[in-house]
Order: sequence, then C-alpha cells, then structure tokens
Amino acid sequence: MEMDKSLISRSMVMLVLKLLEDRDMYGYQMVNELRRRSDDSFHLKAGSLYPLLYSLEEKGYVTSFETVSDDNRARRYYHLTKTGGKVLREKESAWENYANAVRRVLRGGACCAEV
Amino acid sequence: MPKYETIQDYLRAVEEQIRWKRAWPVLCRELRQHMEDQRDDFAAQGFADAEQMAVAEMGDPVPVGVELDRLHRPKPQRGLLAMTVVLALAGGFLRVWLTYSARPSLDAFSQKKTVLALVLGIVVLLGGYFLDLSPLLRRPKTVYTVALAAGIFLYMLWLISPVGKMQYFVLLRHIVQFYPVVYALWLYGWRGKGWAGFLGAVAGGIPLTLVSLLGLSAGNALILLLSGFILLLFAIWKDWFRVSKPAAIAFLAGLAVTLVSLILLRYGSSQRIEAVFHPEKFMSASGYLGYQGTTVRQALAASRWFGEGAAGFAPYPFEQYVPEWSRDFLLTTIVYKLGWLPFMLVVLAMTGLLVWVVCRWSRHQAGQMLVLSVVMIFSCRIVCSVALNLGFVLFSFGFPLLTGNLQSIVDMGLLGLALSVLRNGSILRESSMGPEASPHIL
Repeated sequence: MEMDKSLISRSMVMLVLKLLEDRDMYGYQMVNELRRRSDDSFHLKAGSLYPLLYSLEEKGYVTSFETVSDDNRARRYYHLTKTGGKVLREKESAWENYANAVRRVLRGGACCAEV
Repeated sequence: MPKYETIQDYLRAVEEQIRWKRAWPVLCRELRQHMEDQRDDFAAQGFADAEQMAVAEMGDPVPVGVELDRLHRPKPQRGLLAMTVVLALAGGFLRVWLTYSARPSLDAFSQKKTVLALVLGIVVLLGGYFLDLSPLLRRPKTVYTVALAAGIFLYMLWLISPVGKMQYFVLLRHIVQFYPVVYALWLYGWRGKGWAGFLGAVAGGIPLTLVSLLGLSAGNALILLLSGFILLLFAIWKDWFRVSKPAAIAFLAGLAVTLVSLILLRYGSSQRIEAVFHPEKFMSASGYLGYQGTTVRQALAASRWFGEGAAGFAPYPFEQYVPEWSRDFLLTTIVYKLGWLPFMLVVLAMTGLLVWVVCRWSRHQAGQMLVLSVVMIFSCRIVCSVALNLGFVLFSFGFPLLTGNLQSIVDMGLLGLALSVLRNGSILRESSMGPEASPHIL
C-alpha cells in the first residue's frame, strides 16, 4: 500500500538521518535502502532527496565527500555528524511520543492503551 | 509537465531554474550520477527504454531546480568587504600621516604610492572575493607545486640577477605569506588516504618552510609552522586522514617538540631569550634586539593615554631614536604620537574583523580549512606584531593592513580569498577522497 505522501515528507529528515546512522551512503543507495527497509512503502523521489540532503549539509547535520565506489564510479557519500546524530535522537524521541499518543487515541484513550 | 527523454534534457531543465551558474556543475553532477545508476539498474533488468524510465523516476525537474536555486545562492559579504576596505584606508592614512614629518627621507610614505597601493589592494581584494576557488580545490597538489616553484624561482632570480635583486627578494618575502593557504590546500589533497596521506600532508610542510626561510624571513616560517600545526590538528579532528586520532596527535606532538628544540638550538641562546624580556641589559651589546627593545620601551614609557607622548625621553627625537619606527614599529609610533587609546582601537578593530570572519564560519570542510589558514596568518601577525611593538623583540612582524604598502596589498588578497570562501561556501563541496575514504562505507 502506498503511504500518505504528507506523512512521509514530514518524517523525511528523521528517515534520512536514520539511514546514515550505521554507514555512509550515496543518494541512490538511500532511495533503494529506504524502499527496502519500508517494505516498498516509501518511494522517495530523487528530486526531493537532494535538496533535502543539501539543506541538512548546510545545517551541519551531515557532511559529504566524493569517492570512487567498487564499480569504479565516482559517487558523493553522506556522513552523519555528531550534531546530526543528536538531532536524530531528538526526532526519534519526539516521533515515539507522537506515535504513542496517536496509538492511545486510536485505541480509545489512555486508560485502554497498551504502551 | 513536459516529457524529458534523456538525462541531459532533465539536467538542462534543472539548470534553467538555478540562477547561480557557478553552481550548475556542482549540483547537476550528483543528479547525473543518480540517474545513471538508475538507468543501469533498469537496463540490467532488461528494460529497453532504461534512460527514459530513469528520468521519469526523478519527478518534475522544475521544482527540483527551484529548490536547489533557493538553497544555493552566493552569500554576499558586503559588511566584511566594507570593513576590510575601511581598515585598509585607515591604515594607509595612518602610514602617510604619521610619517609625514620625516619627508623627504625614506621613512616617509609617499601619498601617491600609498593611494596606488590602496587602489591595487581593493582590486586584489575584489579579485580574491570573486575568484572561483573550485578549480584550486580540484587540483591542490598543482597549486602546491606552482607555489613552491614560484618561491624557488624568485630565490634563484634573487641570487643570480645582478640588477633589481631587492625586488625579487621583497616579492619572495610577500609570496611566502600565502604559503599557509597553499598548505591548507595541500592537506585537503591528502584526505582519506590513511597514514600515507597523513605523512604526505606533514612532509609537504617541510619544503614550504625551507622556501620561507630562503626569504630570510624567520617570522613567515614561524607563522607557517604554527598555522601548519593548527591546520593539521583541525584535519585530524575532522577525521580527514581516517587514522587513529590519538596516534596522529602523538606524532604531531613529537614533531612539535623536535622542531621547538631545533629552533631553540638555532635561535634560543639564553642571551637572546633574555634580551627579549630584558632588552635594557643588552642596549650596547653587538646584537640589535636589545637596542630595538630598549628604545621601544622607553618610547612607550613616555606615552600617554591620548595625545603625543612626553618629549625628551631620549637623546634624539623619536623618529631618529626608534629604529623601523615607520615600518614594523608603526604601532609603537601610534602609541607614542597618538596615545594608547588609538593603539587599542587599531588592534581591536583588526581583531574584530577576524572575529567577524570566524563567526561566518563555512559549513564545508574545504572552506573551513581555507578560512582557518587565513585567520591563523592574521592572528599570528596581530599577536606577534603587538608583542614586538611592546618591546618584546624576537622576530620582525608587520601589523595587518597597517604596516607597509605592498604588505597591505598581500593582506587584502588573503582576506579576499577568505571572503570568497564565505561567499561561495555552498558550492565548495569536497572532491574525490579515493576509494579508501571511509570505513563507514560498506
């Protein structure tokens, strides 16, 4: 099932930072990885990804460098900075709170929710 | 949305939305790489129209271009430019005004030459400001080789030329002032290359230091060494070489101890060190440092907070008593002739300019390194020049934008480079680091 695009776009910063948590990745890799991890639910357009990556770089959440991959092609990799990692943890925490609150409401209120 | 058939069509449509043409190659390169990856994946899956499909996957190029245009604009640095020009004009005015009484001796600065230097300086400042640094970042080792060769070439000319020797020598002394910036680029070229890269980066500092010393300028060599160490520490901190940080810092510390020991062996006789702190004991000794330090301190002791200092502190007038009073000791002249407050104002204004540059810190590592190299040059010169002018004489340093016409042009060129980094920061992106760049790439 295709997800609501507005839901994805609001969480995009967190998702992109999360992808970079374990390893440095290039844009095309991120699109594919996001698709794989979301079980094909998140189809991120490259046209949206790059402006987002540039703005994250400008804010100091990621840095980038170009290198030649195993297939002998030059690619620009993105690396999560310490600031980016901190922002990611904040966003994850905010997301957890939000998701729990929504879940509680959907299940009939705080008295009935399983947290 | 019009249909875009090829990668080239798509990129052209993106470019049309981006007003800053200098950003086009930087931004479109990554989009092209992405589409080529996608095209090859589709082709591997057996699709005949792989390129068309890859382009379709990208979405509408117009909003992409509009967003990239919003994110990538030159950041004008009008305030910093204006402050640099004002300080340079003030420096030029002070040079001419304070030395006017010495006409027609060589100590006095010619009005015409000073105006010409200021005009040239502004041209150089703007030239640096509008310079596209991307080609330099793509070829850091070429820049290094050219800069080194230029220094050696000038030295050779100075040695063999029977006429105009001093011009080559003076030019060499000013060219080597750009060496910390050249070294920053050199470091940048060794990123991601492990221990070999780290050692290569360190080794590159040796020829630059030697050429600086060829210009008989221990001061310039000292600034290069200090800047080099700070730049290396910064590169290690930013993990440029991908080596163990404690090991690299330990190596640098060992190198620093060795170098300081060598410098102390060469320059650090106990008498020389004592002359820095107690020059009056060496007033009549054969060395010049004691005399310079003593006369400067006597002039300072006779100075007031505001206005000209007390006359008769020395057997001769100030201009005949304090050596180099119109050059390296121009700050001392400001203290004596105008007072301590104007002196503090000059020092604070220049420090303020540097602090302002640092506050505009570039987000991009290449830019950070270049700005840091310029900030280091000026910081070292401010501190050393103030120390010199307070009577602690060891090396000769001119105060930025104040001492000397040619020196002011060089200063404005260096500041122009730093402001160019701040203006073009968003497109000064890192170039290739080599396949072993990151352990995080799996």
